[in-house]
Amino acid sequence: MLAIRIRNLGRYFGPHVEIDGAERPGEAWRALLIVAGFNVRPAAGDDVQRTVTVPGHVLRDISLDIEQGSAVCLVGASGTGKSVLLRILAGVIPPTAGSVEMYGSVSSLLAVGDNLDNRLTAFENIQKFRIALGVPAAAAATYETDVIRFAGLEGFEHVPIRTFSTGMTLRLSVALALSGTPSIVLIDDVLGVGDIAFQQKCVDRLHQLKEENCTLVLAFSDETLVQQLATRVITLGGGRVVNDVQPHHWMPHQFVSTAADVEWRTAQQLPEDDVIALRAIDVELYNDGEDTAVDVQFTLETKAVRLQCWPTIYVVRDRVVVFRSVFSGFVPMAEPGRLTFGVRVPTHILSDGDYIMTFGVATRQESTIYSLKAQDAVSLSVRRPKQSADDAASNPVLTVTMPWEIEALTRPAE
Amino acid sequence: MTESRISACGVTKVFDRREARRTKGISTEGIGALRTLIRETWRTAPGRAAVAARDKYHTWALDDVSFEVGPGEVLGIIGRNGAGKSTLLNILARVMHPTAGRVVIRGKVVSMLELGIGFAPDLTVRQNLQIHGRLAGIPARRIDEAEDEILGFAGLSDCREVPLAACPSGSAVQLAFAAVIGLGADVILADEVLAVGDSRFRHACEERVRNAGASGESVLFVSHDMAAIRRICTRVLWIDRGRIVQVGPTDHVVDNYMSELLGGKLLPAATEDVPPCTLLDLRLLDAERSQVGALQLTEPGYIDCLVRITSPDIAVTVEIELWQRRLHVLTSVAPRPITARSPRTFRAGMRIPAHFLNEQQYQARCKLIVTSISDPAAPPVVAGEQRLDFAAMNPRPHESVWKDWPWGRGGLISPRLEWTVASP
Repeated sequence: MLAIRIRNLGRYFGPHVEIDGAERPGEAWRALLIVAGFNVRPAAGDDVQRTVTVPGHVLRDISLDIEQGSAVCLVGASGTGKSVLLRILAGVIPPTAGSVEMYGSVSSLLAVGDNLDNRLTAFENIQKFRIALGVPAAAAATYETDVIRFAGLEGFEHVPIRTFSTGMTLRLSVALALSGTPSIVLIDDVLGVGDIAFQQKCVDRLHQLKEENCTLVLAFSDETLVQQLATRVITLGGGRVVNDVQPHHWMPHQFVSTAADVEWRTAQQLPEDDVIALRAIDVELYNDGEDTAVDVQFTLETKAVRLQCWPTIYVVRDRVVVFRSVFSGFVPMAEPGRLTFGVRVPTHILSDGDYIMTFGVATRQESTIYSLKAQDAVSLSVRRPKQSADDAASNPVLTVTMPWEIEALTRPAE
Repeated sequence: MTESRISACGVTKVFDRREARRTKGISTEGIGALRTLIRETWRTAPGRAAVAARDKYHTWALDDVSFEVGPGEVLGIIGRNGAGKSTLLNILARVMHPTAGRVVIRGKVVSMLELGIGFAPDLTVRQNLQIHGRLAGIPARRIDEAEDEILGFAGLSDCREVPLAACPSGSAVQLAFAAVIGLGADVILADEVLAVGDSRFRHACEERVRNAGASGESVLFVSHDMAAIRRICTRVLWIDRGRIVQVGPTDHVVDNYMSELLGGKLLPAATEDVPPCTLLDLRLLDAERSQVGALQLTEPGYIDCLVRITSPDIAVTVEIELWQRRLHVLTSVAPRPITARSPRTFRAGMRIPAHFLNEQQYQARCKLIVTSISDPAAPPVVAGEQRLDFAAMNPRPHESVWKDWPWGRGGLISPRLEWTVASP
């Protein structure tokens, strides 16, 4: 029996205008004009840091049938649309295309604490939830004690939520989301912040729900949780379903370049209304036995005459710049047109983890340097065979093999 | 005989590892403010401090160090990593209080412990120079007079009205050095300053330090670069484990130091148990394998460990971790363990390729992992551990591909990638 039917689902995010000082009346008009597609000259004294993001698809043409009693794990690098899909399923945001049909009562946890009222006590929150779920008054006492016990909040029943620690809020949130007898449970990647014991408790409860024929849709990034729970693993990439398999067929690939068909564009204005645009055209893996790399090509389009530019690339992990590179020297452009830049990014030096590659072009007009940064990025996941256990203690960002020199300095003493 | 400029008498510094965990900073609020007030008012007079115990909680960074520096003298301070050189300089610069002992300095002191401190990146070069000079108590008119000469020496004459942030990287360092030299001082305390900047600038600095010595200023100079020490210093002080080993003429002391260090004789006194292996020193070498204070990015370099092995029964694996602030950049383990049939000293160097690191501060953490040969089942033991802070510099910032880049120098490393450009 079907629990969820998704047909040609798409989600498109409209133009998002971000302009410094848009709260000023004059700037608001300017923002409206830009949204309407007019080419508005920047106000005097403003720099080119302002951006107008070109709208884009986050999800496109997704069709899925999810059977009752199955546990679906959504995986994929961040920014591939897992959370947006869950939000659409939960009814928080509407899809812009296609249809979603859900059969049964839905319980969801998309962010820690989003099902709690901060001003109320834990007990009042539970009562509110119980009434919303329609648990009869006769079963009220058992329901309340069950939730409190599951969250491990004995003794804190009458304390307002706002005084709770992060861990306590998380536990209560999860306990409520998993309480009662929902037929569909949607959980975004929130369990990561809880302690191991609580995580195990949640896994047990999710197993129990599954046996009660409840449908689970989970977005977990923890591989062990995926292996423990899932009956079906769906990999999202670039807003589409890339892979849909049974868990024992699913293995974290060595590389998951989830944005292989990146289609990003950004346009910014240089002074004198010279429009400049960046476009990514190709990302492909390169492998010559030992060294692996990613070849990236991106194109610069401009109407500007006499432009000098430096293409740049940044590789970022957890908001830390791992390295960046710039083309050595100015690229002179004699006439308006198009330039394609290619760069080989070594990936064999990166350790296990998720990285983001961003691109940009710096241009110089007279003595001023402008930077044009692509709004979107290419995400790169590096998966390696697990190292031995003693390596797990420290986790360096790079795995570079350095050459060593070892020599004896003294003659052996007698 | 002329009066000495610096006289240090029985200077001792003991770090209490338990104390470091307690709040020691200056508070301005509540009970902390009262505590700070009392502590600073009735500070234990130097020399009368209770002498701390020699146990595992106390690190004796300096132990009864006494020396004098006369006018016109350039005293070099050498020693292994962690010998107490920087602690000594910090005490002389009054950044730290000695636990016991007395320091008398006659004249105006300029310390160059970390160049570039106290410069505001958003002010222009000229404004920075004015602020720096005024803070050092020099009248505005004298700063104006010296301005041309200082900016000329720092090579910044063209960027007089340019914000410091927009100047080529390394400008702050060059300006700081030029200002210190140009504005005049009686005593100059310099920690590893000649390691920074391009080679032309380094030569100019050396020249100025030598001239400063000749014109009656006293210079105290800490460096790992033995070549620079030999060129500049008139006298050298060698300290090891907080104690003075030798003071004397430059070549004599440097030769002794080098032969003892490479001969691996710098071991604990014979009364103590000789450990099976010791990490003698952790140092930075350049492409020619001579010791330097900073890594030049355009050339390969080495992070080098000197390891003394006295037991035939052990295999020692050297492991070096590279950190940038709190980020673990990489770990490298020597490809083969070292063994010695009879007591010997080895050097194990991790080669850092050219154009690999970024223009940043790094810390190397070195560990010796010892396994027993006769008993392979015994768990490995970590024997020696040392840390070394160093800077990676671009010696020719004007030729760097980032020279006009105004958005900082982020990145754990900065490898050169292959780029292609095509116009269809």
